[in-house]
Amino acid sequence: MNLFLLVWRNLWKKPLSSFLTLLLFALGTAIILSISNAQESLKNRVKESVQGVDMVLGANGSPLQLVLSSLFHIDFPTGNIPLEETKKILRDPLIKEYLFLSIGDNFKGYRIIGTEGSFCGWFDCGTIEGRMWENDLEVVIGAEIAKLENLRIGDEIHSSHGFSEEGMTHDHSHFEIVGILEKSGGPEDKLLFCSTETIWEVHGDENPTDPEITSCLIRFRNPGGLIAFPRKIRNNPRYAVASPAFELNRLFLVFAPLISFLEILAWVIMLISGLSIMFALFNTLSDRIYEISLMRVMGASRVTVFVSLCLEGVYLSVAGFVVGDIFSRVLNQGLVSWLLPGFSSQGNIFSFTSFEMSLFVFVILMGILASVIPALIGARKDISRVLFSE
Amino acid sequence: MNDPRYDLLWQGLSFSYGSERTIDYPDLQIEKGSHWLIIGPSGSGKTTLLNIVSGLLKPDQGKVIIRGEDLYALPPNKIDGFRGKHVGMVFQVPRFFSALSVEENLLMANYLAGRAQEKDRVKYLLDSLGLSGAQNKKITSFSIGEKQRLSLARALMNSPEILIADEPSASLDDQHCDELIALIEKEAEEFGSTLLVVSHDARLKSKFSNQMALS
Repeated sequence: MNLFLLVWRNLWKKPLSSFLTLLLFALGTAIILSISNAQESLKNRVKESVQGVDMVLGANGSPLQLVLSSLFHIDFPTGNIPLEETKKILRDPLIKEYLFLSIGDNFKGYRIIGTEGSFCGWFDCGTIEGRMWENDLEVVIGAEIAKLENLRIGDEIHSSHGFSEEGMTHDHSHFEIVGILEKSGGPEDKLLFCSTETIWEVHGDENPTDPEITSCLIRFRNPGGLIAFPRKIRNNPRYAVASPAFELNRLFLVFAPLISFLEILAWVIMLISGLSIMFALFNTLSDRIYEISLMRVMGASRVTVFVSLCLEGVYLSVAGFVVGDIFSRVLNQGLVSWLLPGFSSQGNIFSFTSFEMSLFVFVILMGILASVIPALIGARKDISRVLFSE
Repeated sequence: MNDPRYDLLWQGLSFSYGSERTIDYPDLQIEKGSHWLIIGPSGSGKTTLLNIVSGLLKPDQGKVIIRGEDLYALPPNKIDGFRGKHVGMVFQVPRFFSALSVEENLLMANYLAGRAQEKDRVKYLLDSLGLSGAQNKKITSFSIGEKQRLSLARALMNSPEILIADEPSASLDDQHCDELIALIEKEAEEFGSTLLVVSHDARLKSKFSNQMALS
């Protein structure tokens, strides 16, 4: 028997009240941690994805759409651009290297990217099980597709036109899976890669006279390219360029007010949880005067009584934090996937961030703070007339 | 004052309720193992005396000596612990920690007094008070009479030198009154505790040879 057990049992004596207070703490914690972790995950994932891509060149349209469709594969491309003219534009001393992308087909809703063999230098391929494509109609698929569709090397698949599996099926073209990418947690897990020529062939144009691609990822030799290159194509109405870093910053700015609102809401919920602990303790003080008196009569000091009352606040806040933290980890995965389909949350589910640790300490302090006033009143109660008869 | 023959004594005790009323208590020396009845009507200061003797209410004047220790000369933070170790109390209305089982309630007496927790003693006391097998039961499942016996068991958990019973016979009929007082006296005898019963119940006068009347 000890004080901790007594406090624990006292909390269970009023399960509904304890549960509601715990729920409020859990909700506040979950929202705060989910926002923080999702932001962190998104920023890191996005940073990884845009790392090394200085600019995206594509058909004239929304720059953000160009970035999202070429790097994150979550929006429609802005259109196609002619390959020969694009090659001319790319003959620029500022450009170190580039990668063509042809987007527009899918397999069961997973996008097929026509590109070049050097794509692994641009995407996070990891180790390839099997091999890279060597011929037309050979395809390398992402790890998630292989797992979800139960596909293996040597299997044959058919693509469909567009980005939905209801699109027209290219029955005449049989893709052969020759490689499976290692799981990376990025969008490439749910993509299929093949040669640009394969995309042309699937569309019945093996040797097109005026071949087209969808977009082109560019790396500059130096940061000067970021300023000079857009000027070069500014007057060309067929093209648009977009800096991934700039566009994604703009995207985050769009979300910023919503995130701020949610953060404020979460802190308000935390404050209400603290107040609910305080009021719950206040409300029960008169009921528990006999127990407080008993404790004192049996040898407990005022400090012991004070600690026991504060412990109730700490128990509730810590339990609320633990429940909220677990919930936030589940929520975090869903939130990242919802905001950027194809991405998975980063980090070990059992690891703690420094923010989580700080929030944990804050929650304990809040539990103590919420209990201090009722605990002081309880500890200072004059018990001399409570237990003895008049 | 430090006579080892006495477990409890008070001298020159006086307590005032503001400027309206002051109670002066007659001195008393209670020998080890003796049984005393403090009797008096309502308003005679019995409760105040109990509070003073148990270290809950500091008198305006006078001393309370328990086991040779001047209670109010102890630092305030030591008085609670001293009471827990040396004084056991039985109240008119038996109160418990309602969230705890019988055994946990009794062990709490050990814990709060800073003593080792003795489950064997819980069993022994419950057996001797006719409450065998009650360890894991909830307090709410007992009758008032059983609760009074549980209260006595709890008071005896730390083998107190002094056992104080406040109005133990109130609201009991003659038969139950006789049984309870006999039980308290028997247990106090067995554990060698000095017994101090405080009551307004005239029926108890015939049961105690040592008495002090308050008026």
